[in-house]
Amino acid sequence: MNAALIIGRKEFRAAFRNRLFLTITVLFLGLSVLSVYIGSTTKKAEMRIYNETITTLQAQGISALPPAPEIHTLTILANLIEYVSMVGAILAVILGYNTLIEEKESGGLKLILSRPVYRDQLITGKLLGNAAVIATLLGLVFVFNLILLIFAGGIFPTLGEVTRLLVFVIISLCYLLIFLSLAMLLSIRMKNSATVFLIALVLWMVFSFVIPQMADTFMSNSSVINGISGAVNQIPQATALSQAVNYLSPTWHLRNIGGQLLQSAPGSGAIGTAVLIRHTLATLLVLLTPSAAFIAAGYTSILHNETLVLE
Amino acid sequence: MTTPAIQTQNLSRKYGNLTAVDCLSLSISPGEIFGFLGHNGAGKTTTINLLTTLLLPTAGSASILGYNVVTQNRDVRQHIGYVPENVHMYNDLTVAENLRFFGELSGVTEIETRIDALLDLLGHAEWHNRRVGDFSKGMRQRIGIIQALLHQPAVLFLDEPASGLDPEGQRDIDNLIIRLNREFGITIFMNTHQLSEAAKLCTSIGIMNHGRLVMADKLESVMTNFPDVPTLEEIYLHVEGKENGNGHVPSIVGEVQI
Repeated sequence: MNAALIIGRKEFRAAFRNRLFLTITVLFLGLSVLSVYIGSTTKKAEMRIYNETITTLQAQGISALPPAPEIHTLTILANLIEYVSMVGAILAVILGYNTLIEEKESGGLKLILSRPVYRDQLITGKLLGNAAVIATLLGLVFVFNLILLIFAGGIFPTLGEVTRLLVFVIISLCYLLIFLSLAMLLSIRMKNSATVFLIALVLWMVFSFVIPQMADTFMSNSSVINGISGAVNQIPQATALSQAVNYLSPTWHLRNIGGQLLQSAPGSGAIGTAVLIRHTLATLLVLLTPSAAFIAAGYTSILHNETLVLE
Repeated sequence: MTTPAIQTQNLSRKYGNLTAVDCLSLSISPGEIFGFLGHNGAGKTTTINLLTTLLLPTAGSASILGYNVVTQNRDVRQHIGYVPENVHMYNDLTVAENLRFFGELSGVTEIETRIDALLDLLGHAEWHNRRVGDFSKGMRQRIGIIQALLHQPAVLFLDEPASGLDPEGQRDIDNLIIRLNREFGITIFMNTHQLSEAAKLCTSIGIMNHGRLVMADKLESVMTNFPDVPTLEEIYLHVEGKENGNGHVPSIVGEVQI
C-alpha cells in the first residue's frame, strides 16, 4: 500500500481513539440534538399560535384569514450552520495543528522519515487521514440530524430537502478543510505547538468574526417608518464595499449558502433551483481556493525544509 | 573486499557558523557493535541523523552497505533500523497497531507474524493489544527497538538506547543488543554516554569532540594502546582532556577503518 494511504489510515484510527477529539465529536452531536429540539419546538409554537389566531378570527366571523407562516422543514436545522462554523472549525484546527507539530516536537517524525517515505507522502497521508476524519464526522452529523428530524421532530424530509442537507454537509467539509490545511501549514512552518494553535485560532476569529464585523461597518442604513406607530426603524443594507469585505470571510460564505440551502435566510424559499445550484458551485470554488493555496504552500515548505524533524 | 556496513568520507554538517560534524571519515565493517562516544553537543546525534538520511550533509559523503545516503536514500532506509533517544509512539494505539503502522511503511509483508516473532523475542507477547499510552519509558524503548527490526535491517542505529532507564531496563536492552548482533548479525551503531555500557557491549568505539572524531579503533586495541589507563572511562577522559588543549591526541587522524 502507498505510504500516504498507510499514514492516512493511521491518522484516522488515532483520531477516533483521541479523547479530546471524541469529546468534541460528542459535543457536536449533542448540539445537533439541541438544535433539532429547539427548531422543532419553535416550529410547533409558531404553528400553534397561527392556529389559535385562525380559530379566534373565525370565531369573530372574519373570512379574510392570514396565510400560514412559511416554515421550511430544514429551518429546524439552521443552528447547524453556527455549530459547523464554530465547533467544526475548532475541531479542524486541533486536528491540523496536532497532526505534525506534536510528532515534530517529540521526534516521532524521525521514525517515519527514516523509512522509505517521502516528505510529500507524509503530508498527503496526514491531509487525507484528517480530511477523512472530518468527512466522517460530518457524515455522522448528516445521518444523526436526519434521524432526529424523523424520530424526534416527527418530520419526514422530502428528497429535495435531504439533497439540500447533503450539499450543505459537502460545503461544510470544504469550509473545514480551510482550517485543517491552515493549521497544517502553520505546523509545518513553525516550531512551537502553542504558537501554532494560538495563531490558527486568531486567524479563525479574524475570518469568522472580525471580517464580518468590519463588513457591517460599511453597510448603509435605510430608514423605514412604521405606518402604525410612526417609529423610525433603521434597516442595514449591504453596500458594494461591505460585500467585498465579506467576500474575504469563508465563514460568511458558509453562513450565506447555508442560509439558502437550509432555507433559514429571508427570502430563501423564493430562490429557484438553478440559482441555488449556481450559488452553491460559486461558494464551493471560493471555499476550495484558500485550502488549495494553504496545501500548496505546505508542500512547498516541507519539500524545502530539510531540517523539519531536526530543529 | 567486503563492503563496509557504514562508511563516511570527510562527512560534515554545518548549522550556520556552527560545525556540528567536521570531516568525519570512518569505515565500519559488518557485524560490529560500534560505540560512538562524546559529550553533549559533540555531534553524535547529528552524525546519526546524517547516516539515517534525516539530514543532508553540507560536505563529504556517507554510505550504508554501499548505498549513498544522499543519492540512494530510499535504499539506505530499506536496510537500516533507527531508534531515537526518546521513542515516540502513538499513545492512543495499541502496540500491535503501532508496529503494524511502522512495518507497513517499511513494506514488510506478513507483518502479523513478524510482530508476534519480535514480541516473543523480547519475551513480551502479552503486550500485543496493550495501549502504548500506558507504557513506561523502558517499555517504549523496547517497542522502539522492535519497530526498528520489523523489516530485518542489516544496520541498526541506536541513539542513547539505555538513557533514562533503570538498571534492570538497561540490562535488558544491553542483552537484546548483544543478541541482535550475535544471533542475527546486525551491525549496530550506538551513541552512548555510558562508558560502562560501551565497554560491555561494543567491539569498537569512536570518540567525538566538538564535531571531530578524535579517536576510533577496536575496543581491544584501544585498551592495548593505553596500558597505563585501566578503564574505558579513564581513556575517554584522557583523550577528551588532551583534545581540549591539555596535550596531544594519541590516535587516529584521517579515515579510520574498523
